[in-house]
Amino acid sequence: MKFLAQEQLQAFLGHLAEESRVVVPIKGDDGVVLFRPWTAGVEPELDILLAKQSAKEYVFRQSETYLRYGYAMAGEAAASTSGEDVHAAAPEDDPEARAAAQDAAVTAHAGLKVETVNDAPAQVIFGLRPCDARGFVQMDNVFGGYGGFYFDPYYNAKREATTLVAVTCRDPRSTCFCTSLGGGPADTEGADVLLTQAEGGFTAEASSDKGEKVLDFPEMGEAAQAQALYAETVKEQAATRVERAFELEGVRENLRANIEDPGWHDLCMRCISCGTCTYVCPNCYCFNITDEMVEGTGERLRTWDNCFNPSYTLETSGHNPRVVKSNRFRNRFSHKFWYYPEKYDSLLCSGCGRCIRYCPTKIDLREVIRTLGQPHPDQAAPAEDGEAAGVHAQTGEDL
Amino acid sequence: MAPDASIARAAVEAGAPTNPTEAKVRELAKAALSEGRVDYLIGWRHGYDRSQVIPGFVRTPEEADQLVVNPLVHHNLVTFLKRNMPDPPNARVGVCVKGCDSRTLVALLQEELVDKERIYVIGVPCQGTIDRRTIEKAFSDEVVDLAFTPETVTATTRMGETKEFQKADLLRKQCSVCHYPNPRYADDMAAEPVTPRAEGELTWPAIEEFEAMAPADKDAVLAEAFGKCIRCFACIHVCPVCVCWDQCVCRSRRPALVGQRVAPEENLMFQMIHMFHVAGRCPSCGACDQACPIEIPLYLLHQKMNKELYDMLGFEAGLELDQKPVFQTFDVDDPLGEH
Amino acid sequence: MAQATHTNQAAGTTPSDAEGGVKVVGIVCNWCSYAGADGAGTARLKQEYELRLLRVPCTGRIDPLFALKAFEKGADGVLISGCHPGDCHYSEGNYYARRKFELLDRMLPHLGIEPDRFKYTWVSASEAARWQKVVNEFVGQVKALGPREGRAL
Repeated sequence: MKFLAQEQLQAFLGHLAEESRVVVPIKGDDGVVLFRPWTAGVEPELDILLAKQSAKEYVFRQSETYLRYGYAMAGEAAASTSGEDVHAAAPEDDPEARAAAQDAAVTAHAGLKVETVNDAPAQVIFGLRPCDARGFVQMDNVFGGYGGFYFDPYYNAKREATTLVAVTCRDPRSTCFCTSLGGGPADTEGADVLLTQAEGGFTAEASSDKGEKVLDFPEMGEAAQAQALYAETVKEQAATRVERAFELEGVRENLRANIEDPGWHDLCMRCISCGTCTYVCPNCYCFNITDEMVEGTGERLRTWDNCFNPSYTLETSGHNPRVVKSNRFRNRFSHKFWYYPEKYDSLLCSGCGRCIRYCPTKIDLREVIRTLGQPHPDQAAPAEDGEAAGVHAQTGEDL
Repeated sequence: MAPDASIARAAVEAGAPTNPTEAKVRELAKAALSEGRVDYLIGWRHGYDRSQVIPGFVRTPEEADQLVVNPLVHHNLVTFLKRNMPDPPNARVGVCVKGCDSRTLVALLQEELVDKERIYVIGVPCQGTIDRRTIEKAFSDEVVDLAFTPETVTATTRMGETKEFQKADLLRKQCSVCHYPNPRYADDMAAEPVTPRAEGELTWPAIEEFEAMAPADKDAVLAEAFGKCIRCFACIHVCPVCVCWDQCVCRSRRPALVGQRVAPEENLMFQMIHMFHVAGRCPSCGACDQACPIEIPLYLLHQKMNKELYDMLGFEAGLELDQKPVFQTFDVDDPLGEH
Repeated sequence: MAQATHTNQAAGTTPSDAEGGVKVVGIVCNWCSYAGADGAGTARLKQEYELRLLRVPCTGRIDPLFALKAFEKGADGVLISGCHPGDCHYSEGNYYARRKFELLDRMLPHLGIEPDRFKYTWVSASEAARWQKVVNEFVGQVKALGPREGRAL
């Protein structure tokens, strides 16, 4: 365990900046804290618990160009083929071969040119919280080839190039619920380094090779025993300050059983179907792929999508299976606590509480799980075969 | 029937009424619900702690005791009346409105976008609402309780730190120059009319400073402010008069006025689409400013727009039911030339 | 700022971005202004050629966002022209339109776009000479400012 003194922080960040871009939480002039690239002299904001957005945009970018393409016009191509190519390719007395050679030359110059863009600058994200780091692990499952599923080269290149330096949450918020999900304010899952507050600075523990490399800073000494003990106390106390939000026992089965429950309508009455919760979440990962073109050249973009958008499931036929708000609402929570866990054996939530805090109407995920992730008094037992369509809450109501 | 989830959870119980307006709102709501005049009624209630207020949907007279009226009730509840929001779509809905909120309701009624016969409106004369985020920034710890007197606001944090603020210092930008605190349309009023904070000619102090800047400086402020936009659409969705919803031209690919790229010029274009399309219906209620998770100063756009409409044509949105929206009519003698 | 120096350039060529030329978009109504522009062309009245025209049936069709989109995509100036109020081919289109253009005119400086880069006016089908004057003055105004450098929009 090493120790980083408060006075050494700027020098440490400068040391990291020699080889990587360094991203830290910065409080703007308007008081809003966001993850932004660090420049020398800027103090990272570590007293405010959470930046308004998670750091996921530095690995899974909000709008990312990953292909550039262009069509050369046939006329331009024809003009650029030289008579010599054609003469060399076909004898003079064979007009058909000559024509074919001319066509081939034009085709070779015309057509679609595609260039892949996958820039992955080395970067250190410093000052995120254990819930943010855990969010990356949950996205890694989706993009990282887990179980032989999809491996995304763009995400993974950036993920490889990123080192995460997390800071223990000494003062959790009332909206934090990481402990209800198996995490904690000093959890190391996903973090390469964990810093914990101690007198005069931070203790620093690496939990990966990347972490070891980051802590290879000559000015940083070993932590004294007193500092290590202080840090342990901070961690223990922090965990006690995180309120228990709900019990997860049986949540998947209950969500399945409650799929037609009118409670979904009640809980989302004040939802305005924006995308704030999905965009501030450290692990929401749905995306859109679109081509943006002007005449013959364009880019293929991947951009964040959000499942609350009314057009999220709009199909080209015009049909929209989730045109009703409560269906979209149900989908988000079911995705996080049922569908994703079934596939990846992990929850898609790290308990940061941003969705609760920044929702314009404070829709509360804890309330949703407590209500619809629990069995209802009049609910029939969940069916063994797990086919959701065959299991209904006994409401008798036409929804 | 599942336990009634909208009210009973994750939301601090309100106690006895803390002021006469609150008591009257609860009384009117109870009457409407018990007489079956509405299927549900929308007011304000506490959130997950006593420093938060959120829209509250009440279905029974007992639940009406959860409604509150205090300086945190900035939410414009008229947004829950617009297209696709009532649940079920033909529900009869009760709603509480302040002065600015009522103007958005009048704007919707002018264009028959809300059925007057299916709503019951409780008017709440407004003494001004505060921006809770200003209080939050005075502490690094979390604010968990707010207590009010007519002139002051006292904040308490999770670790027990307290601080008193002057309400006048916390007022939202539009509140300090509000000419219309009394609802322009209501079925019942929850209090006597209040004196406006400002009278006479409309003034726009919040943007005069911005207007005085050189074009390059304005450009820099806007690039920075809108560079932060994450296109969550919270502002668009919370706006009561932004009604095209899933047909919005911002979302369409044909025409593609706004692309998928998230960049300052695209974001500002997206905002300007919204502004121009609500021009004439927007009273600068500020719901958009409050909803933005990144705290972008949207008032720079909508207040400027309303200032110009006022200068051009003396127009103010949403004042009378029989008023015509500014771009849906014209006067042959409009004092407008070429520019 | 680079000054365009192509006023005497041969017809049929356009300045490239690299040479510091300006791009001016004109949105004109079919019945009056487009006809007027046509008339100016037939009469071979010499005009600054940096103007590129878009034709709409009526200025009432013009959403102020068209002008904003033009600026966003790289236009250095936008000119809107239609029938004189009172003479709209569709009777009222331009009465509605002028309210929107006036608001647009007042919002543009707020967005960091200099006032001289936008103009809305009325040119009738018989006013070919006036069209020439309007174009030359406006494009001259925009050229004096040069290509637009601000990029918030």
